[in-house]
Amino acid sequence: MKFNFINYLFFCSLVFLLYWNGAIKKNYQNLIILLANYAFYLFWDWRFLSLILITSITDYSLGLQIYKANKYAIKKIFLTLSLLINFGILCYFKYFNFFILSFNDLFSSIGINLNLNIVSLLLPIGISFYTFKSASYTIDIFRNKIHPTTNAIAYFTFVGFFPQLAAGPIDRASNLLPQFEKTRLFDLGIASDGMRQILWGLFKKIVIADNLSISVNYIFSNYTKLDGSILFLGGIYFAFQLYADFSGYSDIAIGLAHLLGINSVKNFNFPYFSINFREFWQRWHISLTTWFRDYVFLPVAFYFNKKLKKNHYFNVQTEFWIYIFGIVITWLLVGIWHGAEWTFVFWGLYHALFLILSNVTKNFRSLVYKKLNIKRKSTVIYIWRCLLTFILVMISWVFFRANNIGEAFIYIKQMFSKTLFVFPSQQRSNLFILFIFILIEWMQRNKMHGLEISNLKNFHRKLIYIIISLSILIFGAEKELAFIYSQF
Amino acid sequence: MKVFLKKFIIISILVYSINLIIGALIITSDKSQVWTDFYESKRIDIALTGSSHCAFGINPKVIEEITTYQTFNLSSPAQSPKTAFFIISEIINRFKPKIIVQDLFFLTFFPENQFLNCMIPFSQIKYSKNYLKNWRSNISIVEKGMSFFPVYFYKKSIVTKIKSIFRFTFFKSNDSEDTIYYKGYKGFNEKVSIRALSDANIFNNQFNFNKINREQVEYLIKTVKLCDQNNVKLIWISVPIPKASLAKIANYADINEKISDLARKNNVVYIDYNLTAKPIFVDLNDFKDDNHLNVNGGLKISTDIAKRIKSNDWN
Repeated sequence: MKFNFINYLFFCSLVFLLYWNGAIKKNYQNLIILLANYAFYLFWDWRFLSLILITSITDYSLGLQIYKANKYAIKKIFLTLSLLINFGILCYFKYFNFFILSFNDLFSSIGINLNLNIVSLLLPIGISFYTFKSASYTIDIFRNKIHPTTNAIAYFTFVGFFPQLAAGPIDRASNLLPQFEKTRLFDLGIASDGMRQILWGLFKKIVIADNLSISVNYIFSNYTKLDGSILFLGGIYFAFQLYADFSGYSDIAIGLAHLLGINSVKNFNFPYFSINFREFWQRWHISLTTWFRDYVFLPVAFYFNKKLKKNHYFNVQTEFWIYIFGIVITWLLVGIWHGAEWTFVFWGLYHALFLILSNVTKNFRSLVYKKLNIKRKSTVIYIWRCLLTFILVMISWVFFRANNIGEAFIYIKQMFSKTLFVFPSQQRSNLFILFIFILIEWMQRNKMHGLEISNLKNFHRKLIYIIISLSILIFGAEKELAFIYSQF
Repeated sequence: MKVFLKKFIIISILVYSINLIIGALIITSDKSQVWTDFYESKRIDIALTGSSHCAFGINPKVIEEITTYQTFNLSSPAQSPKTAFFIISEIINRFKPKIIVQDLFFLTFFPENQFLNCMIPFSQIKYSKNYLKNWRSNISIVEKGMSFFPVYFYKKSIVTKIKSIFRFTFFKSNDSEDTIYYKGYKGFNEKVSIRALSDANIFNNQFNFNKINREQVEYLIKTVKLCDQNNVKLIWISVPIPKASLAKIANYADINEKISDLARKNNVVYIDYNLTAKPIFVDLNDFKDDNHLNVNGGLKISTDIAKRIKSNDWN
């Protein structure tokens, strides 16, 4: 089934009506979601349903075994087994060909032709998301943070929860599982807010992202012939296309979860209003960042903390070395998580570099502000820092979008050429709608989502719903595109 | 739950009603003089159909003066072969013309959702057996379903109107002193600037013209059959665009070859004024913008077509 508006609307309406149907026992709530999960996955690609079942069965049973085991070593064996199965499947489907090709290239550069054959593989939809969800369950049991569930249906429902299946959020067992273990009661306020968030998500995806994609595709396909100013516009457009596309999906997923009485984690918090890289990653794809923080960065930092005994190495405090190791390893993996391409690896390391730089220069910047008597909290400085962070992040998205690293560098070089200051002769038409979008986001930046308007009067709320619904019909791009993050 | 559903249904009804009202307003405001004149005509011997290139480029008056045949231009903006099929069907049904000249502008062959630009002309056609027959047999179930959302179907028209509001030209009459109107033809006296041709050229934004939409080709063939069955001579033409614009279309020659091939197979005359036809001298003074003829250019092309019709010379 193509993930389009009409099909999805029909599917979700059916699930919603069945789920809250008074004639159906409340005990069957999980069963209805579970069937919906698998029906949804079957429509995407029936061949990969077995993978999600293997992941669910493995982690459900190993979670119980980890909890039951008396000895730490045995717990560790069960956890290792769980991680090997989870990440083994993920690596095989997502990274096998990447490593084969990289090995071939590496050895051919020193004159050895390995000629290892690649395998024709399709990437199972949502595998990066549900694998991370499921892996966090066994790790948390191992760390005694949660107890395993004995309710298999609840667990299977959690792993394959259809609103989050294709592109997250990566909601952890500690948040979702207790909710699946209880009976949900319909809450008018939560459901209404869920509908608003779905509407806002659709607006972002159909009106903003899909329209911007037309200009982005054109600019990135013709970057060698275009002025720097147009390439700069292309960078801005892609930054907002990606944001509107991905956060739009998250809004729909969170809104749908609300309709089913489930409270999902927030995944985006108006990231382009961040004043530095650290804050940006506290606001962008929050569920992934916190996953990597808890399961990669902190364990790596802990490991090096144990291993590095001295206070200083090369005249630098050990604490700082630990931070660097943690950040580099984490961001290397974050890059690879996004895709088996060197562009993503480079993109990850770029963010690691700026996170480290941000940390290194923190005191120096404070000193400069103090010396120059500049108030850091003034609006002008705030906007300047937002803009600077946005431009640096936007440059990183060029690597994200380009076909290879060389292409990305040429794009950036061309973008910052003399023609950057030439008035863009084309591709300006999206600026107006982008301006409106940024304005709405700015006004709502302290809210949970762009359409959290429960404080407004009933009449004004209805008017806004009508305007947004009609905008989707009128201004929505004619060609509907797949969600970008569903490809990861 | 009941309260939630009630609220949801009320808002849905409101959205749907406003959608219908906007749709009705668009249809009413777009009720064109062209179609009123068409239905008031007593005789039509030559009918012209196609995109805005034909609407702005071929003047029925010139053709009437040379051939003495009653001529009418039923072209409309971005009229695709599918839309043209419905219009030609209506022309044949009403007037049984001798000749139909169909302009084939290559951009109308590519968009996937062709029905979007079909609805406005379709809404102008009077209800008749022919109308219902076409509605039943030539419009898919999805299209029929979607036609209940006129804001979606008339989105192009709505977006154009909104854009013109922001450019403060909304209240400017379309038929200003610079335009000439005659039986569906709309001639403009303005001339394109060199800057507009280079900087704001529509073809700066276009790319990937490789995949001609199959449905469009099917409707071209349907049109050929319809004309054959009714003993109407069908002529395909491509109205010229400025050379500077043509140069920006990388594979125009391939497109021309595909259409020429289709014409040969279906025994239809095809005159492409951009590439293969006997050259007609047109320069920048003959264009109103980067891809439409003005009155000067229209006169030259209309004269050539009329002479060909009169002499039955299609080479």
